[in-house]
Amino acid sequence: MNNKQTVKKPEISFVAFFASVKLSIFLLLTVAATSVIGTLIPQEASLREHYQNFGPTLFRIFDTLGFFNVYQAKWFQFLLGLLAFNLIVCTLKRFPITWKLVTGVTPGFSQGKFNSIKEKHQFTLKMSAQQAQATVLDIVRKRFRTVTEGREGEAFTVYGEKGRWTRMGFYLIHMAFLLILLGAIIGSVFGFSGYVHIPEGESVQSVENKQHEQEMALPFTIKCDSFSLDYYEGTRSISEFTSFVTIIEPGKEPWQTTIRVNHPLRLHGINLYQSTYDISQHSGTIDVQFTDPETGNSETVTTTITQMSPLPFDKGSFMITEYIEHLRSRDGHDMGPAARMHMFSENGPPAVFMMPVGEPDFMQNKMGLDVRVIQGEVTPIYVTGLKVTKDPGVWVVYAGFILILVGCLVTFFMAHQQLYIKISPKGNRSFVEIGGTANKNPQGFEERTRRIARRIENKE
Amino acid sequence: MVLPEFLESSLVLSVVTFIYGAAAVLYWANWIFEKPVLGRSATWLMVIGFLGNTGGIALRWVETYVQGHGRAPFTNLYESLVFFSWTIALLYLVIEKQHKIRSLGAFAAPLAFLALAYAALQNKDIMPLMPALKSNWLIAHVMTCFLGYAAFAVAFGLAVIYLLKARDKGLAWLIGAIFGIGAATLAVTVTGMKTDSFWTLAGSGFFIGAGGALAAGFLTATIINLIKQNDPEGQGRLTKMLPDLGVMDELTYQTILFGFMFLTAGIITGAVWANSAWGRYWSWDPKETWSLITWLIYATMIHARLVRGWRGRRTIYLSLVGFSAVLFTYFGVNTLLKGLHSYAT
Repeated sequence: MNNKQTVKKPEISFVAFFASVKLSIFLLLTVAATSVIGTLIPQEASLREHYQNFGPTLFRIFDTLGFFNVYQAKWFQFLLGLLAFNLIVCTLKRFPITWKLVTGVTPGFSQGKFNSIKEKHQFTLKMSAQQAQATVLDIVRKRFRTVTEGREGEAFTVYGEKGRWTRMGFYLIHMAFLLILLGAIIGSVFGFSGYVHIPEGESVQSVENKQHEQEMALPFTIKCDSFSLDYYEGTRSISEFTSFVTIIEPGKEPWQTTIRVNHPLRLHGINLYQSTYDISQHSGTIDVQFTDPETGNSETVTTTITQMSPLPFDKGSFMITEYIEHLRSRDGHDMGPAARMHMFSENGPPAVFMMPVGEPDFMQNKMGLDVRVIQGEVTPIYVTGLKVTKDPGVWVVYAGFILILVGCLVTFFMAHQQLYIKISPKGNRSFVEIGGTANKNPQGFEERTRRIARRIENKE
Repeated sequence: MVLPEFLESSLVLSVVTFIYGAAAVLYWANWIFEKPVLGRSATWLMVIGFLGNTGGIALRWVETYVQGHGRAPFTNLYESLVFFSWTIALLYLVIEKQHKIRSLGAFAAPLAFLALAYAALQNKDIMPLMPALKSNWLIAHVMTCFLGYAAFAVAFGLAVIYLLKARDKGLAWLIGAIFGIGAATLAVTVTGMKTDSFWTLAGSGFFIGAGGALAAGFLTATIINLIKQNDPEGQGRLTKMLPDLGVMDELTYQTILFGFMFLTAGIITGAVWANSAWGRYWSWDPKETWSLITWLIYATMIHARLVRGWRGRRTIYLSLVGFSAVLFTYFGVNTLLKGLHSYAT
């Protein structure tokens, strides 16, 4: 990452502009700043809600600027595209230089570089310079991958180097960023996402694509056998939503599996997630007691929900059209389970009314009969709501994730380290000078150089 | 399993709060009076606090099993704050051991103390996990995120020391901002008890906040000027006790790199988890977006430093902006914005 430009060309060329880090910094901060908008204006709200919140003028301005859908807005994606382009141009411009540096010949000991190191460790060893060089080589070879020895006039020199390739680390991060963007594009072009709602006992073989408002055929049929809600023992907190499904594929035996939150079903590149649930209707039987107030005769009829049953005493017929688990009063109070009753007489208009279920004390007089709903044996029929997605780009994105972590490790915590050692003869002793440089974390390497110097000093 | 009554995680953690507080006082005393015995006791208190904090988390983990729905203790604001102070203490102790910078303790220990004290105000009930949180990614996601946050918090402490040592005007801005936000929050809370009108609330928050910010900022600026007049060379004992600017600059940067790496890992584990729970690795939900904003700010700082050669003041300022984004991601999003992370309040 050598940014020292020797001569600044007068003309600002296209390449120089797009390769500049100033542009990257500007873009990074602009993306950060504009991302804030989307967190302040709730993006999932409807246009009507926005209109009510902001009034006509602000609404028009925000709508034109795409503030209600920032992250899908053209200008936001243009910013991301520009950042990617900046990155590519920057890489193309710098990569050859880095590549030459990394694959080039080992520079070896250089007096000029050695002189430029400010902090050097100096000591005298009680051995000849040649012996000292052998000792030093022994120690340095264990710690550095590339080691060369040489002469500098009277003096012997040792040069150790390691981690030159780590100068490539930041390309990994940049590549990773491009991979993630590419994966996102692949996902939005070739993928889809939608929802299916399957009542228990029914099946679907297509899904409505949210973006394109069209039906997509699935390569299999999915049947919801049952749906279950599990609670933590003794609480009303839900512990699990589970859909028990049967998958029917052409030319294969149907097989059963489950879909839970955090445990999606992945099949032929399509993912099915447990997303929501609902109760479509109820099935079961309800006991209704009818009393003739004149004679005092009572009769209990067991009726099936949504099926017509005869009224006793030849009064006509009745049906429970709907069972409601929690009937809400006008002020929102939960009044418990209720049934919607329809009573039909031979002549005259039908009566439609709500009755609480399981409260024999509650009575209504309709068509000359006292009606009480004694009890019911009712089970809900659930509808499971599954999110269906296909995203062929996700593996590209994940590859980017891994690459970015590796890149961070290499770029931040590994350095190109160079160690310079000069051993000058001083009578029958030798004078050792040690200095080191690293392109990153110089203090860390300074400490390492000190340890190596101490090791050599204690070797005599 | 039956545990003795005094061994209750919330009680242990209350004690730890006071230990961190005492450690903070000792670190300050050490900075001011320069007595080795003070520094050593501060470190020991910090170590004891850290061990207690570890024990508190472990106990809470056991308690979830006693209550019958065993799960990792990282699932709500209370538990995350406890873990946050744990990571701050851990990182600080590592840095103190490696770099012998005790003056950092004067800022790290109060942060650990504040996190735990704030935790004490939260709901401590052990609730069973909702289905979306029942995932192996929970631990990986929380651990990585909080190591990142804690590193940024420690880097913030280092940045403050840098500004103190440099006797930089940025301190006036920083203290002004802290007091301004504090005054605004207080004003809105107090006014909120009397009125529901949005404009009254916003007005009182704005004017009282701005007033607090200006007053604190100008006061700090005046103090800095006075100190500079009396001691133009920075030879005063309190300034001299602090490490060199170059050392602070490099150490702040190294800590931020560490935090950046873990924030990256945190965002990634979150994305992978979201993909298995909701079928989308990125939804631009406010928490995700704010973590990305934080990431972008620190990325800018790293680029400015590596490629454009920024050092010292300017990178320190950027790291302060970065840390305010961290705080907003952690606290602001939960309280002010709605989104998928709603269970974290």
